[in-house]
Amino acid sequence: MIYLLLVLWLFLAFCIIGEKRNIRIVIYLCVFSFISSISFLILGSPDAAMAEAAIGTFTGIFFIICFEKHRELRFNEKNASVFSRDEDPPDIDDERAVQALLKLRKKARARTRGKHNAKSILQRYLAPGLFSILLFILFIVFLPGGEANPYLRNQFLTQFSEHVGGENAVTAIYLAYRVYDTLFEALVLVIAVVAVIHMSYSSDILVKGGKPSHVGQYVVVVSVLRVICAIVLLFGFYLIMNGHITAGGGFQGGLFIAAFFICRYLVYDIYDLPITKVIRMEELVFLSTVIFAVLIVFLGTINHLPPVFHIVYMIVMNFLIGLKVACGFLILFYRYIAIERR
Amino acid sequence: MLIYLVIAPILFAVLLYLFPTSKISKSIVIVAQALLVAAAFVLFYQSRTNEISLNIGDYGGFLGITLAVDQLSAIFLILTVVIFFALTIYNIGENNSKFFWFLLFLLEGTLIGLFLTRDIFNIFVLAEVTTVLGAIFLMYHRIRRSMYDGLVYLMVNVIVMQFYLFGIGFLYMLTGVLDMDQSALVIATTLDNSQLTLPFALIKTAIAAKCSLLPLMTFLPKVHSIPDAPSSVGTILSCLQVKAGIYLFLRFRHIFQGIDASSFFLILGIITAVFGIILALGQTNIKSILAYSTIAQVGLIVIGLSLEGTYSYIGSLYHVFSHAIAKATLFLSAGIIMRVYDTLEMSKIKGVLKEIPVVGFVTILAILSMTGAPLFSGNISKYFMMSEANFIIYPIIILINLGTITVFIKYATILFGKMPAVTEEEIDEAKATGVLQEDRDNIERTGFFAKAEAIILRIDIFKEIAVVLLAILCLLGGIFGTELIGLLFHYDVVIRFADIAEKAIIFVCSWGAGYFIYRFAVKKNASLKFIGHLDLNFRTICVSIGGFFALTLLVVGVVLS
Amino acid sequence: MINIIAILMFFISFFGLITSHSMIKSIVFTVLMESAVILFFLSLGFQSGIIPPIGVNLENLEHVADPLPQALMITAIIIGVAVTTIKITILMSFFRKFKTTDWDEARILSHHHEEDENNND
Repeated sequence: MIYLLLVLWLFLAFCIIGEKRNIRIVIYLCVFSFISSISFLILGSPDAAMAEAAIGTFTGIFFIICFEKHRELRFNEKNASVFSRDEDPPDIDDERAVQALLKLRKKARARTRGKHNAKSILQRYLAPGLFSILLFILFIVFLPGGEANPYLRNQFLTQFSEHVGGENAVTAIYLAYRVYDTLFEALVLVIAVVAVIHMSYSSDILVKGGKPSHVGQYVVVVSVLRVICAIVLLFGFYLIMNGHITAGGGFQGGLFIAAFFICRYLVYDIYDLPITKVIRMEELVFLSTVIFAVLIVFLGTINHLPPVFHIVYMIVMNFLIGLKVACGFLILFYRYIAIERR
Repeated sequence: MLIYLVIAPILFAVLLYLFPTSKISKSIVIVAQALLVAAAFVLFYQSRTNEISLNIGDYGGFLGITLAVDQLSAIFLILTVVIFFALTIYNIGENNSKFFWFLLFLLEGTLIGLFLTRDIFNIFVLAEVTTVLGAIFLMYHRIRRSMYDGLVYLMVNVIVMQFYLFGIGFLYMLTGVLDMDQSALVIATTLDNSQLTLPFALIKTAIAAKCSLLPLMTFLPKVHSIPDAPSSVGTILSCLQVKAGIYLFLRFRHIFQGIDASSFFLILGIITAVFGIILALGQTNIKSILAYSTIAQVGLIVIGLSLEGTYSYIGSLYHVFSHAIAKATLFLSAGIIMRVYDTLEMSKIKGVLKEIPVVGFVTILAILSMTGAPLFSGNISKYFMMSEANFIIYPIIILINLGTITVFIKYATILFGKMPAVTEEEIDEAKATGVLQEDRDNIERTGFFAKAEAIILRIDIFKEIAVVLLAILCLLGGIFGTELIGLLFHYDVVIRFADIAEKAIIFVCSWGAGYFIYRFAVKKNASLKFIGHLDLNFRTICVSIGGFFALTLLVVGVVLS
Repeated sequence: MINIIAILMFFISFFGLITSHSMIKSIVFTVLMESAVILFFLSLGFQSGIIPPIGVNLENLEHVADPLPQALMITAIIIGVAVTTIKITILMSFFRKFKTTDWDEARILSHHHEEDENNND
């Protein structure tokens, strides 16, 4: 089963290599991440599977919004070039640069025209292909033998319920043993949000330029989403609250809550979210996550608390992280919608 | 204590961003930075007597993440806080938005975290954070050129970190732990070299790219010297991120004790240094010259670290220190020069010494330190590096230093001459394009034309204070060299006067030779200029990463075993 | 066997990176590369009939998956998506200014263009 899936997985990668239309590449990417999610599940890691599924969806959504804002990007590489609209060279002063660009264009055109020409494909892919195969073979040759050392695995499995409590070893690790990593992971999201706000060119942080989703005309989609909407929100909260006993946790739950808001946007055309307040809230939640982690884990308090409080700690921490992730992805999504088409 | 040094700047940065107004009170920033410096020094003094370590959450048994300060971390920690303190002073006079301070403090926190952590996976996380922050900082002004280079920087670093992550996977599989010291122990006791070849090659590929050894050496300096990026980011990338690569190099050398690849890295270091010098000689832009000379110095440091012996090890680490300070001085004064002359092209910058005497004088001091003049910190570090070199390496180091001197003779030409007069046409053009009227985007470019309108040029006094402080540090590092080394490394070193005299003679001869080389071989050499503007595209960079990986694998797996 | 597939995937995406001319494709291939590494980590200690590390008294069961790589990989996944969003944002701003997603064209344009006035901040 798993091997069948993984062969499909590899096949999709080859599809992406051969594909020219950007929108299809992104759809392949979504399918790819769906397959990875199922394989992760089979490999015995439902937490990572859930995270991958949600993340794959979000990456796809961001790409598709990007294409929606720049429609010429949807198609292939050739359309998304400086010469796409008309054959005039762009307005550059430097004559040499124009010449170089024209030469590149010619090459690219030859590339796209020779799509069915086996010889040109061979010419283009032979050397890189051989190089990659060489690296692969070298990698396999030097693949270290020997059994895996199960030291930490055994330690974690035997001690986590005593140290941290709960029933999910993965949650125990990322909320207690390696909470320091988790804080930086949350920090990366904060930075991503700030960076996206700073670097995208829309002048306004508020979503004034946001457009109705126009999904309303597709009756089936809307009615299905309307039902799914509430379930998604409930499921998100379920994942957060039960992260310490079953698969799931703050990250996965937070992603589902953000997904609820996206559904809400699609179904009810609500796009006037007070984004500045959400940004402020996200950072406040991040601050409180850090301070909470410092107070409970970094100061070593957790070892002196009775086991009941360990569960409380994990629920609160999961809730904070969930809130943070939900806010973060919400801002990213609304920010992407807000970016106006020029 | 240990963990707050990492957490406090991050919390402070986020609080700054949450601050309602966009102007940040300068005293708050400077006080925070001073507190950090004080904390770092206190930690340094505590760590001198015994190694301080902290297991987060007190779980024991290598379950949690450990932070620790030992001699190596302490050196890099001190370096980080000193350079960030100078950067804070440098930027305090400017109307920077809170976003700037947010990035600066986050970078400081994550870099300190990178130097303190003992967990292999945590290094991956922190390295990703610093990469992302660096890329955003590069695109701070959102200008065309910086966007392309920033994207390439981000992509390449992400790819390289995937190699690193793969290597961690194998290490975890083989050792069963993620703690550095414990995995070094497990590797030394239970594993043999043939099992370690692959993780070694994967991790070394990432580290070599981080400290811009062979595969990325034409690309990284290009990023460090993006003209539109703030000068501070070039300083951070060139002085600290590259040095973080050196730090990881040393840490992982300790983990893979069994694999003795020092001769391989010695050769790599020599090639890197030589190419760095050749590329630096081909540059026509002052920031690029500085950035490429960093590559040459990194090559020199790798050579010193690959030599056996305590003296060369200490010398190389001291060179990390002295080079970072001197390079920070030069980068920041290049920022002031750019502000005054409104250009980075060498041909248009003349007579710095006369126009802005303080900056000119500071540049001279920093150049003397970089080239290893007596009484400067660069001299001490190079002295120790060479004291244990054998008869092949010794002349090579002297030749590399000669190359460095030639590069800086080229750089020093901006100090002399006469500032070109502003023509009427230029003023008209400036008026037409609106440079005179508005200081759009807070870009550091107003002075040149402002001067034409007879407005008295006012250089930010804080910028001058920052570069002067750094230059004084260069000088102090040379005069009190042995004491500083005793303080940093717990190692009593002796400098013989006869050796110093010999070095001084070699130094003077090198300057003479360097001047002649510059005068007759470099000055109007078109092919050098061509090589200097060699530009790898993204695919070629990826190929070179793969090629470096294959090379390391083959050398370590076949030749050395 | 699964780790071989992961390694194969890693080099397929490497091949993609060294052949693709489009920035979008390059971003997608870095995502694939991350997935390959994640699959490798999760396949550490894989055996058929493996069960997730969730429940009580896990130490008595035999086929329990290693929880540590899973926790690490959740971190790696989140970092990956954060970096990917930043890349997409840069790509969008970039495309808006240059009208191209071709690496070579972008290189020429970004190094030759004069800064124009509608910076639009």
